[in-house]
Amino acid sequence: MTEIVEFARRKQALVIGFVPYALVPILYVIGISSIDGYSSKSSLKSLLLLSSMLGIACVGQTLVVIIGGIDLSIPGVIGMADVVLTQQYGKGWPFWVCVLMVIGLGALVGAVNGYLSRLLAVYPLVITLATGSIVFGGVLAWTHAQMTGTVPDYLMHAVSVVGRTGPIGIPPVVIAWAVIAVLVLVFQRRTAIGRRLYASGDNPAAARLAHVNLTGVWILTFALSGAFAAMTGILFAGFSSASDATVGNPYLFQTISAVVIGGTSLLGGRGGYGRTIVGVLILTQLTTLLIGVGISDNMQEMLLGVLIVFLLAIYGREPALQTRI
Amino acid sequence: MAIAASTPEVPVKSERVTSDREVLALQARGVRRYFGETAALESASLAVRRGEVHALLGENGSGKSTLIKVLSGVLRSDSGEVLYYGDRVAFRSPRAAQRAGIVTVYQETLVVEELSVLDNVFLGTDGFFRHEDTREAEQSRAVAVLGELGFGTFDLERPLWTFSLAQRQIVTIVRALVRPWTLLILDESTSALDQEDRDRLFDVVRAAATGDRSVIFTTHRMDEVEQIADAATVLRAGSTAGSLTRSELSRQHVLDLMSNGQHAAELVLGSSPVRQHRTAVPATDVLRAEAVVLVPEGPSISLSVHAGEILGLAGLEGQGQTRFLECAAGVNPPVSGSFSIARNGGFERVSGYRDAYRKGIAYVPRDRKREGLFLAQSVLDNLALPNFGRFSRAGLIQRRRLLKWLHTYTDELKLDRRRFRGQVGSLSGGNQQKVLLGRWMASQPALLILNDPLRGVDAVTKQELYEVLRALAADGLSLLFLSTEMAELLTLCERVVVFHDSSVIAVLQDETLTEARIIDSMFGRKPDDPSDAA
Repeated sequence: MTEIVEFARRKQALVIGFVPYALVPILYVIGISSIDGYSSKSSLKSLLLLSSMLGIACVGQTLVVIIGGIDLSIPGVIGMADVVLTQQYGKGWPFWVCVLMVIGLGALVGAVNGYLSRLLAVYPLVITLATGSIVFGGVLAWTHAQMTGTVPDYLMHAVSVVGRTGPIGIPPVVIAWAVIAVLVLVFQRRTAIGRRLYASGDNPAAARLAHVNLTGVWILTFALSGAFAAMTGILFAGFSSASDATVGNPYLFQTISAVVIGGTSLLGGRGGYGRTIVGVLILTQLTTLLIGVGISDNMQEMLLGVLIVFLLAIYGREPALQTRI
Repeated sequence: MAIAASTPEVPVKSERVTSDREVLALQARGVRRYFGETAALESASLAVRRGEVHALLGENGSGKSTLIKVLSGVLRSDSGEVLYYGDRVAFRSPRAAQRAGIVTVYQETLVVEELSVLDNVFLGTDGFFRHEDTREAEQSRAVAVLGELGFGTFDLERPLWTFSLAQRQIVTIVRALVRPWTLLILDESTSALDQEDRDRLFDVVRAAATGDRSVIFTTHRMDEVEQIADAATVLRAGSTAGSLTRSELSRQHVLDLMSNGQHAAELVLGSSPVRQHRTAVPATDVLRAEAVVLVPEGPSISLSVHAGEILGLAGLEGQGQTRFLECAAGVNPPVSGSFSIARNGGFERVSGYRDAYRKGIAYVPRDRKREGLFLAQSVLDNLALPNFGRFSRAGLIQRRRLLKWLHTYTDELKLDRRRFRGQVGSLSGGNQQKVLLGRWMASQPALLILNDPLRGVDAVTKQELYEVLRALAADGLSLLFLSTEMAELLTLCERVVVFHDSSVIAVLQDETLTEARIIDSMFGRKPDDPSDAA
């Protein structure tokens, strides 16, 4: 074990460039050989469906990590979106109004996260944890913990394994994820703002001197994170077709894990959404595998934790570039 | 060596060595230390007699601090030898040096702000003092030394962050003095102290340096040297330029050794193409500093940068030249006064960094790794970052247009186009500097502010960059060029502004622009200063 870790440390760039990509097919083969029907159409669809939900929630986490931050308010915002959408739709508001309002609220929470982190000049860990809990508590207080409400049928359909996108036999949410993924990849690679995100995360002091508006970058990025978390919450509402403020809770650990497993550095400035997609596929397959072979919930949590520590040990710490020059 | 081997009188030689052994506390010979390809020390020698206060002098970057770090075990030398009381030593750590009795107070005020005065004084002595000395004993030792230095009223239990910089510096000195020392090294340890405290410290040091105990100190202030030094060694560009005894210690002598008595013109002719003297076109101003005050209640500075000139800024560390530069770039605001830039036929006041950039001022910061580059990003990103907006349509970067634009500048800088996709961190220091320069050249400023841009750049690249900077000036761009290297200023600049004590002490040009004059001014001496006669 220590030898593996030592080897990996020396070949760090190679490991990060190779291991995540190799793990996706490896896990798939393990799945096929150990679980009956793992390669069946319905199993594949459910795998993609779960990946889409996580993948959409991870857009924001990835961008935030690129600028050198972290967003722990994602579960709170997911819960808020889920509850507010079902409540308001249940009260008879038009669905699209509900959607826009919920996404707007998510973006607002995110913008506050970004602004406060810059204003107070602190790592956003505690701030986002706090806003997340404010949002979560606020939702519970507002509904008096009485969760009622409904969602439209087409939303349920969009996130159902048997859902179809027009003539294509794939749930709409998977298609939506594919479109979002392309847009995010173009955004981070080909737009001026995207490149500024990387610069801000890599070297904030230099970014400021290169006329990057850091506060603007932070507000925008966290707002995007909030918006994507809200979208995930809407999808969850369709998934469970009922109000549940706690529905996003597993996503605290999972979004960060997917980003890190993919190989994006928590130090900022390195990695990207392409890697997160890989991380999402690894994480979803692992969860499915553990469920599939009949491991209890508690054991699953434990094993996932162990695996993530192991992967991080292999990836090793980013060698500080400054020490190499 | 060869001579010694062929000389028959071996006994004579060993006798000389024995006498050195009895007289010298420390002897360093031919100490060499490189950082990568940069020579910090080339061949430094130093001989400190027992019971002596020895001054180590030289301009910024001459290698004083490096030599001291070698002597006190922080750095190891590449070659050369150090004899300590006649024994060859090579300390592996500061602790090892301390055990041998060499105690150093470093230039940086190294304290733990959260700890009390007492804890700071006895920092790192645990294991020794914890067993042998009670807290009361530590206290009385610290009080005794503080009393000698005139700080008997210090509250030993107060955390250090509540004290002023000067008081913190005192604490670092006390920390050294309470340890058992035979050689005390003070590396610019008096910079924050006022006259009175300094005098008391010198009295203590003077009194302590007797018998076998010796002191080495570095300073930029000649008055300090005259006050307490028994002897001095002058470093120049990493090598020992000369050693002076008490009777030889005159200002002029020291300054001559520091600058090697060379006249600017010789230096320039010897090294690189002659400065191009501007033809007698009347100078038009590009930037004007109007009554700029850098420190509270400091003097005001007014000067202007002409079109197409490279205006040099010089000064010892912390004399205000860096601050002036940052104020001109809008990074920091001055205490009072303003900068204005020629624009649209008039002069427009500049306020703030962004505003300065919009009005045509670009700033190349000093520390390229901390303030300049994005080491994990591509060369292209590093070049294009401030200009991405200009080459985007509907949010998307237009790569081809952008590259075409950048190539005009990177070709001039001789940057390899094929490396644009690679990480900037994988380039050599010189090429990294080119990337940084290219970034701001491509912003097409009217005034380019350069904060020591050629530091840590290899000699070949340096020559290339000289050419580039000259060409920029020839095209009408103005450059404000701060450098800590005399040769750069003399090679590139037509005018050099020398800062001393947060004010401009001299503006040198034409026949007054010599190395000796720059150094004189750096040390606060005006040409008509009466003390010059001595």
